Amino acid sequence: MLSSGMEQLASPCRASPLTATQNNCADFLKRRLCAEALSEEEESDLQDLLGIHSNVILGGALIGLALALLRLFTGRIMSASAMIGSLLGGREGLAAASIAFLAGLFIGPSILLAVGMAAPPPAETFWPFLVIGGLLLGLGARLGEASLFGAISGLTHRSWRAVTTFLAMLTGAGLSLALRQFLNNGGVA
Amino acid sequence: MIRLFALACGLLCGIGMEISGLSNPSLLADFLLPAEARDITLGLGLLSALVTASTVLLVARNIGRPLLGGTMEKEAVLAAWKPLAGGLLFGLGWGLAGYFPLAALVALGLFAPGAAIFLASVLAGMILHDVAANGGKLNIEGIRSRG
Repeated sequence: MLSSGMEQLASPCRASPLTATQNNCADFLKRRLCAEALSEEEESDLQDLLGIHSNVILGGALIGLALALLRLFTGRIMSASAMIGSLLGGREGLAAASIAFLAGLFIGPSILLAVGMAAPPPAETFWPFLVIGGLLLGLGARLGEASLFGAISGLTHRSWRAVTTFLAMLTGAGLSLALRQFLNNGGVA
Repeated sequence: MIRLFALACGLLCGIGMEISGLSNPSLLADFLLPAEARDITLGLGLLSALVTASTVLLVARNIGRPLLGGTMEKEAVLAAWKPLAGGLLFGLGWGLAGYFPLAALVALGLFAPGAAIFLASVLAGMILHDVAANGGKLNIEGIRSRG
């Protein structure tokens, strides 16, 4: 790191244009600090990625932990679709554990909101899309026991059904997103 | 005890969803079919969840029964076309609405109005399926408590 910095000091008239960091450096000492800052800028893309997305990785890990613990301790698959479906009876019946999980899912963000640590609610889709999308999703969830984290859960033990469901979901999502873009462009693709 | 533990897992998952921001409905479009630069947040979050869950479950592989009693929930045996068709419909709905049910519940915890509309529609879609599968009748007897 230092040696590359020394090279830069030895050749102040580089062909490449000066960066903003370099422009701010006046004397030798500052230049040296500057060279260090530059070499930090050149760190690998992977570290960059992890830095920007550390929240996502941490949050995803918490979700995965919840999935695994729920499975280990209660034997349940963490699938909100199936749990909402169990409110309507069918295979699982009205399972109190489902209601408890769904309640926790609702209360968790509410607590964060109450202590001021939550982001404001996200911008949402045009409401007819929410209604039609909800109907389709409900139909599919009941027909094929499809659910996003149910599929993720299945992927942890390499279930082919989970792979099928997951790929079908991505295909369907791609199709309807294309339709949404088409409609947003006023019907001109 | 099982209910209490399920509640705790729900809390953990909800907080994880909120920290990661995965409940944002625009993430799917930004990941799959971006208008501008691709945003890999959704894929990265799901991958992180998958890796964590796989690791924990791999370490505890020999547990045949849930630690708090009861039985392991199994995937139902379905005809091969059902997961395919169901997944496709689920994906179509997901793409249109931007929410999936778990994300909508989290957004509901932040009092997002659209999430309530969406969840009501999901329930309606499920009832629609049950009515169609049951020859036009809603099967009330199927609703039973098993705690």
